Amino acid sequence: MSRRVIVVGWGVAGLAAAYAAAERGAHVALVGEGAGATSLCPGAVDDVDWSEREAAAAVVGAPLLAPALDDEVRAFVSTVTDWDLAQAGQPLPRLVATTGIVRTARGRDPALLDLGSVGDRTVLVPRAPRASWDADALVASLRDEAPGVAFEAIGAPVLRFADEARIADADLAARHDDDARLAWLAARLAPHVERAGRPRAAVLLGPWLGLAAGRAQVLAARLGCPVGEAMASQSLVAGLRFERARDRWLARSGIELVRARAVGFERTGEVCRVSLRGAPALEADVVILATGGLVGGGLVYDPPEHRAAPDGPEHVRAPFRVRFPIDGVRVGDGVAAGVASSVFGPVLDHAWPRAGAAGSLERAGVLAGPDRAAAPGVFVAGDVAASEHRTVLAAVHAGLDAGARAAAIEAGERRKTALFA
Amino acid sequence: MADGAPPSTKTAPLGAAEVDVVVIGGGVNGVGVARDATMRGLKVALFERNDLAFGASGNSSGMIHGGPRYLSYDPAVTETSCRDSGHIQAIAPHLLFRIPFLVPVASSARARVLLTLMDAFFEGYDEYQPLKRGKPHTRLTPDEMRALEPGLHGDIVGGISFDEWGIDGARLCVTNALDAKERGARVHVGTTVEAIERREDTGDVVAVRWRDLRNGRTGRVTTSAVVNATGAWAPVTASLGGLTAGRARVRPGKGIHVAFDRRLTNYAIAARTIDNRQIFIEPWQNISVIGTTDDDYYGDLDDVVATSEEVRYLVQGIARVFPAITEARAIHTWAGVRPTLHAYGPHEDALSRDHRVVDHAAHGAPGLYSMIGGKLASYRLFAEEMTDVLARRFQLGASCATHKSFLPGGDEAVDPFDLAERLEIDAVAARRLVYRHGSRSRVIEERIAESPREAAVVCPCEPVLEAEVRHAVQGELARSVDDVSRRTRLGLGACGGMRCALRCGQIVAEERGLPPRIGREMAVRFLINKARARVVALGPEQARQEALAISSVRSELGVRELSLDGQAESEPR
Ligand SMILES: Cc1cc2nc3c(=O)[nH]c(=O)nc-3n(C[C@H](O)[C@H](O)[C@H](O)COP(=O)(O)OP(=O)(O)OC[C@H]3O[C@@H](n4cnc5c(N)ncnc54)[C@H](O)[C@@H]3O)c2cc1C
Ligand SMILES: Cc1cc2nc3c(=O)[nH]c(=O)nc-3n(C[C@H](O)[C@H](O)[C@H](O)COP(=O)(O)OP(=O)(O)OC[C@H]3O[C@@H](n4cnc5c(N)ncnc54)[C@H](O)[C@@H]3O)c2cc1C
Repeated sequence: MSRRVIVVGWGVAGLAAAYAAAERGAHVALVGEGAGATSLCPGAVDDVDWSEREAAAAVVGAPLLAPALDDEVRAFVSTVTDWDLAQAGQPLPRLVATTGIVRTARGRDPALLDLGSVGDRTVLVPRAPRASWDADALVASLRDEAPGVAFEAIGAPVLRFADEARIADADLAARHDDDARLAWLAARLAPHVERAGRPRAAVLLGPWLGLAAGRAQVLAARLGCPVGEAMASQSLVAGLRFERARDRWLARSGIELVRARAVGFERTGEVCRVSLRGAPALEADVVILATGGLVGGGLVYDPPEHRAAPDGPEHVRAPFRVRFPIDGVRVGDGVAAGVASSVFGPVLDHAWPRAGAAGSLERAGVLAGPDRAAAPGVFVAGDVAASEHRTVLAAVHAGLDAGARAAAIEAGERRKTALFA
Repeated sequence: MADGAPPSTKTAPLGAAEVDVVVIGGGVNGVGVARDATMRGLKVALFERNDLAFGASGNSSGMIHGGPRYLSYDPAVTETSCRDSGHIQAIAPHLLFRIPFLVPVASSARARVLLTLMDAFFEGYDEYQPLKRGKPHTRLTPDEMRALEPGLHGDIVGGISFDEWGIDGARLCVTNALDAKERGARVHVGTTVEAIERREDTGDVVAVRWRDLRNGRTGRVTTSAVVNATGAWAPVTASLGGLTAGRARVRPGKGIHVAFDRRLTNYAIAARTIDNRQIFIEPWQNISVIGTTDDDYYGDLDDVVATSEEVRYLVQGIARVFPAITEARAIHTWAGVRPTLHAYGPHEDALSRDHRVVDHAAHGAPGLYSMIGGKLASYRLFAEEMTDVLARRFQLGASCATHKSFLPGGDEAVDPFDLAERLEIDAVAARRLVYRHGSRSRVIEERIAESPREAAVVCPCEPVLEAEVRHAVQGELARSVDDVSRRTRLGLGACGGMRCALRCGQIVAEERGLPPRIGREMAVRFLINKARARVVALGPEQARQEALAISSVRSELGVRELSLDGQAESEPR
């Protein structure tokens, strides 16, 4: 009999867990509600913190080439998402942020422009009167950041209606899902591309090119030159595209999706029971907790001083907890869980990362063994787990690992635990 | 009053040196003197080592109050504060806003007696209220108190209301500095005085040496007088002139504030700490503020931060009158050091808030003066007293007129709704703009007419427009993201600068013709320093926001950048 697995959380870690468990023949129910960190991601797909890798590369003095990835990570990414991963040994994509920063990534939402692929073309940057888009400032800073590439701010009108000076990036992006609108944009850009000498041009726009799916390639085909977006950490555009791709995969995967919030957990003998808000409870052999970290809402920082009585907290409690409560799951910020040295709560002076070291808010998470088990029948993956890297690929890897272990708990199958192959 | 006998009888000829007066310190007292002295015809150069309002002046409770607290032991301070508050209102009406206070009286055996005594006490304070257009106090029943302030807690027998005014201390400093500059003073920010040179024979001051802390440039300016207006730094500054620190002694008292998102109360409410000190929660601009502590300070004056203990101590006290504070969202803290007149022995709260001009001629340094003590509320008067001393030194006839001429922006009221319509911006944005700039909001309007894209909102929390950021750099001496924030409150909302700091850095670099990389460094430095000030007061919602900001910074900047860790970015010379 195949194992029954419930995955709670439909960020990238939960999806990877569901994928791996289903691949191994488990019957998977995926419980998800709301948007988490994956939906807020600007489209850069990293394995480790990119700035650490660039610093390491600077020390070595060697170009940044893509390290090999675990096969199942690749298979998951190409099956479930639209993302593009660099081939092992190839140069890493170089992405542009709207704030003028250029950085490498292990992979990307393909709508993002890869500066590494523009060669000796001139990157044209259209001006647009939007708060988060200042083409001239962007060009000034890109000339500094990517000295080998030519940039030029151009006056092509890329906004069609007056409201487009103010609407959110995602709303503008959605307008480019429409073919006619995309054709309009292509027609506005074409003369500038021609003037620059078509094979010698590339176009950089804001995160505006489609929500249902990235439309950058379609536009590139129309214009006959590379076209792509700059990423913006608050635009939500890449995240919404991730959600659309996820929904498309879920619809064809045969995985049972339960759109509801998990609110309770009970274990009787060998059976795990997850109760849901607004839906009947589910039962399974194993539960995978992939509810995200503080951003995703899987973890909560709630020190005893919060909502305390006027005379101070009445109970000492651990400051971090999982929002979806499971008996026996322990939470810590890298130090031993549940040890208090103040009635009020911890002193979070090192909440922020500094000089490479993760801050306590990032370290916090569910404590689990190397087998990712956090309690009997419960595995954790992604940002909800106390882990080293808060990146998309680290979450994918953890999700795949947890899914495989959950599907084969008795078979004793063991996966490699390294992110890199 | 001038202190230190014998008073200097020596006079100095005008124009004998490059400038007549060097003012050290760009707090409210320094800029006040620079303005007054310039208006009376002196050639002035002001040096501020960090930024205008970097010290106590930008980190106070933001009240132009008469200080009823001082009424019982220092009534002169109350009277001068009230009188000067009236003057400040007259010259900068746009910067003042009313903060009515409630003082609840908890039920106890002596409560009725206490209430009656308070009633009588505030009757005394009422006498000063007309000096500052304040309303007389009222005695309120428990029901009236709760009707005015539904969040009030506990068994109360009633309370008192009294009237105060709020102000943005940083704006007050900036307007004074701008006025001085427009009238001909030289104002150097980010530039520290490193030495006060004196003649070996007579001891007279002859020059100061300065260093621009960002680009390392140094220089010397000759002068006939030096005013040490460096607040809590005063003893350090005195020693730059070869005096012992004790000649300009202060008793530095650290005070912190915690800012909460939005206005949580209708009124300011007075409360008591566990050690029976008076503290308050006040609605201030678009936030709520609780404060303050008063503790002897022995640390670094250029890097004063609130600690979580201080935050908890204040929250505990406020929770007893306004329990919802423990659920409210703290978004920011700030800390400053009071330059209190020195006395050994008294409890911090019992120290005099009076001020004093020290003439160091008595210590063998003619031409060197120190301004010790004071309050925002009486800065103008203190500056007048100091400038009177200078006027005698230079034998000037002109008398003080700083209470008669408007500060920049104060001359005319601007209707924010009209402005919003003309600029097609949000009414809240227009209202905030008019608050900060008064009639000078027209300068920003002109910028937008010239370049419509500058109507874009850079900081959505406050909100702050692109034109205002550019104006802060072009017209208000801002040199960094932090400076822009001090002038506009950019990046001080719930998002902690996540949405605006980098963009602001980009603009500052562009306006100053610096490489974009330096703009980014400024942004990072701002993000780190503000995060450090926020995390000591972290609750659940803000922790989630903090995690989002961290991810977002990691994604765009990478954590390597976070290692700048509070050091100043260095600019090309
Ligand atoms: C602003 C930002 C920028 C980032 N930039 C990058 C980057 O450039 N590169 C990179 O590699 N990584 C980046 N990251 C990190 C990366 O996005 C995360 O590490 C990763 O997406 C975590 O995935 P997850 O599935 O563990 O969590 P999440 O994506 O947070 O997923 C958790 C999901 O579970 C749902 N959920 C929670 N509780 C319940 C419940 N009780 N019942 C049902 N559903 C529930 C949540 O709503 C959410 O959808 C960024 C993150 C953020 C926030
Ligand atoms: C917590 C707190 C709350 C307060 N609340 C109120 C209130 O509500 N109402 C009120 O009226 N008053 C209040 N005060 C008092 C008031 O803020 C101060 O008395 C007043 O701001 C002092 O101004 P200052 O110019 O003397 O000093 P500061 O504002 O401290 O200015 C001194 C400046 O000198 C600069 N400096 C130092 N050394 C050098 C050097 N070598 N070269 C160049 N520059 C140098 C510093 O960078 C600094 O900017 C409060 C004070 C504190 C700390």
